[in-house]
Amino acid sequence: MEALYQEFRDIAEFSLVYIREAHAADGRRPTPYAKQLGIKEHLTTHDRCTTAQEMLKNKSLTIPCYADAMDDRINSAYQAWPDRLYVIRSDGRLAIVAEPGPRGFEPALKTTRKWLEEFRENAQEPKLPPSASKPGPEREVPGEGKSSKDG
Amino acid sequence: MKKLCTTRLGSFGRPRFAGLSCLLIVLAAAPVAGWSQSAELHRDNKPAALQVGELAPAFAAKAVEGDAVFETKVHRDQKPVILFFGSWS
Repeated sequence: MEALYQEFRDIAEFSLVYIREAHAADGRRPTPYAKQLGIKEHLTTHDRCTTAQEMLKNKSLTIPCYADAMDDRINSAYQAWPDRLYVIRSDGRLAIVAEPGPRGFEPALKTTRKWLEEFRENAQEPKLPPSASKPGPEREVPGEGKSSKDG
Repeated sequence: MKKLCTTRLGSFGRPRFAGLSCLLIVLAAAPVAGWSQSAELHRDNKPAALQVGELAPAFAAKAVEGDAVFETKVHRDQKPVILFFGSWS
């Protein structure tokens, strides 16, 4: 993820959205890793931001990181939990929709790299496949425009 | 329920199991109905899965450090956006 960001940050906008924990130490299915590091469910935006900052430091990530609201509205709209990758074309349409979870993430990184390489080489975004859905109406994440930066 | 028990009782002709049959029917039917309703509610509340080609839902999110705000709309007609979602755990 970081390598992709470093390589293509000049031609694309990268964003990591920090969502609720997948396997927090105090969650339903904690991992030994989470227990060891004391990664707990976030109760406030401050919790979420602090955990995200610690992760960025721990993993040496420099990719811009943003926090989902505490009602998980962005996560919900993108069905992103536990982790997921999307590529949005400059016209706002989805170019890549990865399968959710670690099994979808790794293959999607490769697909995204290929997409970005093609974009760089041809100086235009790769075409959508013929099977792509019609754009449909513009959608907003529910709750946006009211208080997206709640605490 | 009463009718079901009567029917079962009639077909097997064993009155001493009537109470047990009735209880089993109740136990078997109740959780299935509950689960079904819950699944329906969950499905109704869950947004439809996003598809390639669809317009990405617009959102704004605050940076985990500092005051920067990311807005999908800002990048429209400018650059493609690579969106990663995840957490530490």
